[in-house]
Amino acid sequence: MELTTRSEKSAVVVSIKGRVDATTAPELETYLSEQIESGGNIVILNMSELDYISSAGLRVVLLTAKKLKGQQGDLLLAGLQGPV
Amino acid sequence: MDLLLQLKLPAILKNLTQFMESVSNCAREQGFDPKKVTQIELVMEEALVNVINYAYPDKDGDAQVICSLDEENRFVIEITDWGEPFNVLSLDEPDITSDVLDRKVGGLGVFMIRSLMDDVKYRFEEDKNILILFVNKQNS
Repeated sequence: MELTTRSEKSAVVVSIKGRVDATTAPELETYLSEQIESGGNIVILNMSELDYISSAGLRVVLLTAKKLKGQQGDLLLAGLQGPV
Repeated sequence: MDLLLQLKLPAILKNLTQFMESVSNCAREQGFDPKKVTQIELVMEEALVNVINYAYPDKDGDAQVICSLDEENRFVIEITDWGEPFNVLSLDEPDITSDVLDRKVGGLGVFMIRSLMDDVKYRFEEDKNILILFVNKQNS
Protein backbone atom coordinates (compact mmCIF):
# COMPACT_ATOMS: atom_id res chain seq x y z
CA MET A 1 0.00 0.00 0.00
CA GLU A 2 1.30 3.47 -0.89
CA LEU A 3 -0.06 6.67 0.56
CA THR A 4 0.61 10.14 -0.85
CA THR A 5 -0.81 13.53 0.02
CA ARG A 6 -1.20 16.83 -1.76
CA SER A 7 -3.02 20.02 -0.85
CA GLU A 8 -5.74 21.24 -3.13
CA LYS A 9 -7.14 24.68 -2.15
CA SER A 10 -8.62 24.08 1.31
CA ALA A 11 -8.60 20.30 1.09
CA VAL A 12 -6.06 17.57 1.63
CA VAL A 13 -6.10 14.86 -1.04
CA VAL A 14 -4.82 11.50 0.20
CA SER A 15 -4.21 8.98 -2.57
CA ILE A 16 -4.30 5.31 -1.64
CA LYS A 17 -2.59 2.90 -4.01
CA GLY A 18 -2.81 -0.87 -3.56
CA ARG A 19 -4.67 -2.82 -0.89
CA VAL A 20 -6.15 -1.87 2.45
CA ASP A 21 -6.66 -4.99 4.55
CA ALA A 22 -6.19 -5.96 8.19
CA THR A 23 -2.40 -5.83 7.80
CA THR A 24 -2.25 -2.35 6.20
CA ALA A 25 -5.28 -0.63 7.77
CA PRO A 26 -3.37 0.44 10.93
CA GLU A 27 -0.85 2.33 8.78
CA LEU A 28 -3.69 4.09 6.94
CA GLU A 29 -5.31 5.03 10.23
CA THR A 30 -2.09 6.55 11.57
CA TYR A 31 -1.44 8.40 8.31
CA LEU A 32 -4.94 9.92 8.19
CA SER A 33 -4.72 10.93 11.87
CA GLU A 34 -1.47 12.73 11.10
CA GLN A 35 -3.05 14.59 8.18
CA ILE A 36 -5.92 15.72 10.41
CA GLU A 37 -3.53 16.75 13.19
CA SER A 38 -1.56 18.81 10.67
CA GLY A 39 -4.69 20.85 10.11
CA GLY A 40 -6.57 18.98 7.39
CA ASN A 41 -10.29 19.46 7.91
CA ILE A 42 -11.56 18.52 4.48
CA VAL A 43 -9.99 15.25 3.39
CA ILE A 44 -10.53 13.72 -0.02
CA LEU A 45 -9.60 10.06 -0.35
CA ASN A 46 -8.47 9.39 -3.91
CA MET A 47 -9.26 5.72 -4.39
CA SER A 48 -8.66 5.48 -8.13
CA GLU A 49 -5.69 3.16 -7.57
CA LEU A 50 -7.20 1.23 -4.68
CA ASP A 51 -7.50 -2.43 -5.65
CA TYR A 52 -9.09 -3.87 -2.51
CA ILE A 53 -10.53 -2.70 0.79
CA SER A 54 -11.85 -4.96 3.51
CA SER A 55 -13.91 -4.17 6.60
CA ALA A 56 -10.67 -3.28 8.42
CA GLY A 57 -10.17 -0.49 5.89
CA LEU A 58 -13.83 0.54 5.94
CA ARG A 59 -13.54 0.85 9.72
CA VAL A 60 -10.70 3.35 9.27
CA VAL A 61 -12.72 5.30 6.67
CA LEU A 62 -15.73 5.44 9.01
CA LEU A 63 -13.64 6.47 12.03
CA THR A 64 -11.97 9.21 9.97
CA ALA A 65 -15.33 10.45 8.67
CA LYS A 66 -16.70 10.59 12.23
CA LYS A 67 -13.62 12.47 13.45
CA LEU A 68 -13.82 15.06 10.66
CA LYS A 69 -17.59 15.57 10.83
CA GLY A 70 -17.24 15.98 14.57
CA GLN A 71 -15.00 18.99 13.97
CA GLN A 72 -17.19 20.49 11.21
CA GLY A 73 -15.00 19.01 8.53
CA ASP A 74 -15.74 16.34 5.97
CA LEU A 75 -14.41 13.23 4.28
CA LEU A 76 -15.02 12.70 0.60
CA LEU A 77 -14.37 9.59 -1.44
CA ALA A 78 -13.23 9.96 -5.03
CA GLY A 79 -12.27 7.69 -7.90
CA LEU A 80 -14.00 4.56 -6.64
CA GLN A 81 -13.33 1.69 -9.00
CA GLY A 82 -15.68 -1.20 -9.81
CA PRO A 83 -14.56 -3.92 -7.37
CA VAL A 84 -14.18 -1.41 -4.53
CA MET B 1 -15.23 -34.34 -1.99
CA ASP B 2 -12.22 -33.10 -3.99
CA LEU B 3 -9.59 -31.66 -1.65
CA LEU B 4 -7.90 -28.63 -3.22
CA LEU B 5 -6.01 -27.00 -0.35
CA GLN B 6 -5.22 -27.66 3.30
CA LEU B 7 -3.26 -25.06 5.23
CA LYS B 8 -2.71 -24.84 8.99
CA LEU B 9 -0.72 -21.99 10.47
CA PRO B 10 -0.53 -20.05 13.75
CA ALA B 11 -3.50 -17.68 13.98
CA ILE B 12 -1.49 -14.45 13.84
CA LEU B 13 -1.85 -11.39 11.62
CA LYS B 14 1.50 -12.08 9.95
CA ASN B 15 0.01 -15.25 8.39
CA LEU B 16 -3.14 -13.58 7.06
CA THR B 17 -1.62 -12.80 3.67
CA GLN B 18 -0.46 -16.38 3.15
CA PHE B 19 -3.89 -17.78 4.01
CA MET B 20 -5.62 -15.31 1.69
CA GLU B 21 -3.25 -15.76 -1.24
CA SER B 22 -3.50 -19.56 -1.01
CA VAL B 23 -7.27 -19.46 -1.14
CA SER B 24 -7.47 -16.86 -3.92
CA ASN B 25 -5.01 -18.85 -6.05
CA CYS B 26 -7.18 -21.90 -5.47
CA ALA B 27 -10.32 -19.96 -6.44
CA ARG B 28 -8.67 -18.64 -9.61
CA GLU B 29 -7.66 -22.18 -10.58
CA GLN B 30 -11.31 -23.16 -10.24
CA GLY B 31 -12.19 -20.59 -12.89
CA PHE B 32 -13.82 -17.89 -10.78
CA ASP B 33 -13.68 -14.40 -12.32
CA PRO B 34 -11.67 -11.58 -10.64
CA LYS B 35 -14.77 -10.04 -9.01
CA LYS B 36 -15.73 -13.36 -7.39
CA VAL B 37 -12.13 -14.02 -6.31
CA THR B 38 -12.12 -10.61 -4.59
CA GLN B 39 -15.38 -11.44 -2.82
CA ILE B 40 -13.89 -14.72 -1.63
CA GLU B 41 -10.78 -12.85 -0.40
CA LEU B 42 -12.93 -10.37 1.52
CA VAL B 43 -14.85 -13.11 3.29
CA MET B 44 -11.66 -15.09 4.02
CA GLU B 45 -10.10 -12.00 5.58
CA GLU B 46 -13.12 -11.34 7.76
CA ALA B 47 -13.37 -14.92 9.00
CA LEU B 48 -9.63 -15.24 9.65
CA VAL B 49 -9.30 -11.86 11.38
CA ASN B 50 -12.08 -12.96 13.75
CA VAL B 51 -10.03 -16.07 14.58
CA ILE B 52 -6.78 -14.09 14.91
CA ASN B 53 -8.34 -11.46 17.17
CA TYR B 54 -10.78 -13.48 19.27
CA ALA B 55 -10.26 -17.25 19.21
CA TYR B 56 -7.30 -17.43 21.56
CA PRO B 57 -7.49 -14.67 24.19
CA ASP B 58 -5.09 -16.32 26.65
CA LYS B 59 -2.85 -18.51 24.57
CA ASP B 60 -1.52 -19.08 21.06
CA GLY B 61 -3.35 -21.27 18.60
CA ASP B 62 -3.69 -22.25 14.98
CA ALA B 63 -6.12 -21.63 12.18
CA GLN B 64 -6.76 -24.14 9.43
CA VAL B 65 -8.21 -23.54 5.99
CA ILE B 66 -9.43 -26.35 3.75
CA CYS B 67 -10.71 -25.77 0.22
CA SER B 68 -12.59 -28.44 -1.65
CA LEU B 69 -15.35 -29.17 -4.15
CA ASP B 70 -18.44 -30.88 -2.77
CA GLU B 71 -20.77 -33.39 -4.40
CA GLU B 72 -22.73 -30.48 -5.94
CA ASN B 73 -19.49 -29.05 -7.41
CA ARG B 74 -19.63 -26.05 -5.07
CA PHE B 75 -16.33 -24.47 -3.95
CA VAL B 76 -16.25 -25.02 -0.22
CA ILE B 77 -13.96 -23.23 2.23
CA GLU B 78 -13.72 -24.55 5.81
CA ILE B 79 -12.11 -22.32 8.40
CA THR B 80 -11.29 -24.10 11.66
CA ASP B 81 -9.93 -22.94 14.98
CA TRP B 82 -9.43 -24.68 18.31
CA GLY B 83 -10.35 -21.69 20.43
CA GLU B 84 -13.30 -20.55 22.52
CA PRO B 85 -16.62 -21.87 21.17
CA PHE B 86 -18.05 -18.99 19.19
CA ASN B 87 -20.55 -18.80 16.34
CA VAL B 88 -19.64 -15.72 14.35
CA LEU B 89 -22.96 -15.99 12.47
CA SER B 90 -24.88 -15.27 15.66
CA LEU B 91 -23.69 -11.65 15.70
CA ASP B 92 -26.20 -8.91 14.81
CA GLU B 93 -25.88 -7.23 11.47
CA PRO B 94 -24.98 -3.56 11.47
CA ASP B 95 -27.35 -0.84 10.26
CA ILE B 96 -25.72 0.15 7.00
CA THR B 97 -28.15 2.94 6.21
CA SER B 98 -27.69 5.26 9.16
CA ASP B 99 -25.83 8.56 9.04
CA VAL B 100 -22.07 8.58 9.57
CA LEU B 101 -22.32 10.18 12.98
CA ASP B 102 -24.86 7.57 14.16
CA ARG B 103 -23.13 4.51 12.72
CA LYS B 104 -21.59 2.13 15.17
CA VAL B 105 -18.11 0.89 14.29
CA GLY B 106 -17.87 -2.85 13.73
CA GLY B 107 -19.91 -5.77 12.47
CA LEU B 108 -19.27 -5.25 8.78
CA GLY B 109 -17.17 -8.39 8.55
CA VAL B 110 -20.11 -10.64 9.45
CA PHE B 111 -22.35 -8.71 7.05
CA MET B 112 -19.87 -9.35 4.25
CA ILE B 113 -19.63 -13.06 5.04
CA ARG B 114 -23.41 -13.48 4.89
CA SER B 115 -24.05 -11.33 1.84
CA LEU B 116 -21.16 -12.40 -0.41
CA MET B 117 -21.32 -16.17 0.00
CA ASP B 118 -24.00 -18.43 -1.48
CA ASP B 119 -24.32 -20.31 1.80
CA VAL B 120 -22.65 -20.24 5.19
CA LYS B 121 -22.77 -22.83 7.98
CA TYR B 122 -21.18 -23.13 11.38
CA ARG B 123 -20.70 -26.03 13.74
CA PHE B 124 -18.76 -26.73 16.91
CA GLU B 125 -17.38 -30.26 16.87
CA GLU B 126 -14.66 -32.02 18.90
CA ASP B 127 -13.36 -28.73 20.41
CA LYS B 128 -13.25 -27.05 17.00
CA ASN B 129 -15.10 -24.02 15.65
CA ILE B 130 -15.78 -24.78 11.99
CA LEU B 131 -17.09 -22.07 9.65
CA ILE B 132 -18.02 -23.36 6.21
CA LEU B 133 -18.43 -21.08 3.21
CA PHE B 134 -20.06 -22.22 -0.04
CA VAL B 135 -19.52 -20.60 -3.43
CA ASN B 136 -21.51 -21.83 -6.42
CA LYS B 137 -19.48 -22.31 -9.56
CA GLN B 138 -20.07 -19.62 -12.17
CA ASN B 139 -21.44 -20.56 -15.58
CA SER B 140 -18.71 -20.30 -18.17
